[in-house]
Amino acid sequence: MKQRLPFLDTVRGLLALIVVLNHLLLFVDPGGIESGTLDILGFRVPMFFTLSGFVLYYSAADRERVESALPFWEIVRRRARRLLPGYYAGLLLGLLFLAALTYMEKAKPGSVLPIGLSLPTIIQHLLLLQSWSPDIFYSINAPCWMMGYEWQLSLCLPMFLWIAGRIGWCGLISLALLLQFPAVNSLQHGVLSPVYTLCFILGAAAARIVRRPEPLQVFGRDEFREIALAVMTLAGCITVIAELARIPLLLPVECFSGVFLAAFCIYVCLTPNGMLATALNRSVVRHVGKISYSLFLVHFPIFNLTAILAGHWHLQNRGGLWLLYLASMAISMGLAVVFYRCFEAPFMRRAPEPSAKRPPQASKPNASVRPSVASIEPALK
Amino acid sequence: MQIQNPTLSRPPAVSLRLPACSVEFRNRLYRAMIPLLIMGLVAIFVYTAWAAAEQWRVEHPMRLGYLVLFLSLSASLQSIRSMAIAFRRPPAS
Repeated sequence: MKQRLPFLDTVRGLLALIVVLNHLLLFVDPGGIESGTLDILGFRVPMFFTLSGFVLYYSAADRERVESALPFWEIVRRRARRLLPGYYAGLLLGLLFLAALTYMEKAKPGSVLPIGLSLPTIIQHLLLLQSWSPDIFYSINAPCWMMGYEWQLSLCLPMFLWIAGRIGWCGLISLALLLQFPAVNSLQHGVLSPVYTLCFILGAAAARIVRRPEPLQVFGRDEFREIALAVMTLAGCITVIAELARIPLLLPVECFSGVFLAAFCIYVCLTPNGMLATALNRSVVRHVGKISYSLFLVHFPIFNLTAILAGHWHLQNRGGLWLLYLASMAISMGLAVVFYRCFEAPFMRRAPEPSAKRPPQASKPNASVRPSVASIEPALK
Repeated sequence: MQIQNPTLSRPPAVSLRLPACSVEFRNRLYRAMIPLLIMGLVAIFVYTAWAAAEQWRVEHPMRLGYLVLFLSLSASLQSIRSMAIAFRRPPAS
């Protein structure tokens, strides 16, 4: 039976806070990008995709033959309900900010669109295809670029599961590993990002281990937990050291952060009463996790606005800038709560299952009243 | 004259699925691949730690070198311990 996993909210909240903190540093100290001090948190983005792969497979694994019969349109409907309302609202917020900026900077007369925006750019953003043109990634609402990849990978999940059903999960992961090499990757013309695809598949594979425990039967639950712990420790150390020291490896460093998070999820799921799981389940950050998507979407326009205000007020000293940006972070959190209430929570309520597809419940032997045939027939149609 | 049912004479459907391996073979494969995976990770980790220690020995004071050494030792010990626990039992039938 599927359980709710509160630790995922904590992980999501931590990752969102790292993203916001990274952007905060970017605004307070714009020279940080050139000096390279800001890139050390670059491992965070692939982890979101691992988390997505894990959650998507975890919620789909109740089906019989999930690896050959996952309906495409059901995935589309579920992901659209989860991602699109917030995404379009975030896009609108970015456009409003750009329009205000255009108005303030007195754009060219006759220009309908905000500065630097063209109609194809907006259409690409509306279709979530901005990830195919890296030069327009950040043009409306910078963090929205990730949603393009997220949407495309979600749509590819039935295909990944079909491949896994044919050649096995080891074969699927091997194919994703091959994509990391430029010669192989060029064959798919950049449609899918190789690193994010691998991380997504690793997340789904981790959920498969947790939900369909054939690999666990080979080793035993305790033994597999130890293996997950070893993989988690090694991959985590590789990620941190290689990121800090900028050591080039055979695979991109981000791949190891995906391996780390996949092993981490397996370990926490197999140790539900362990210290780590308990700490994560009771963490305060879990509440940030619930609004993490909204926070992700709203913080960047707010920081942009703060930057304009700081320029307008000629604010130069570092302490004042920090105070201003911390205040804007608090405003972002407040706006994220509003966004969550308006654009996430109403769409996340589970739609009622169609009753016609449910198998008829077996009647209890001591049931005093038996349903009539007439009352059963409509349900069976 | 007996008319043959056309459905019976139809050739069997060709399945794209690879032939299923036996459970024993799959278990052996898993038990062989997991140590390989961990050993590969250990090798990458040792290389990374060595390269980082070499780099930081030049660029930074020795504290970072100590940190890398500590991380290397703890991660190696953890992985060795986990491998020992994972493979202490014969494969489940």
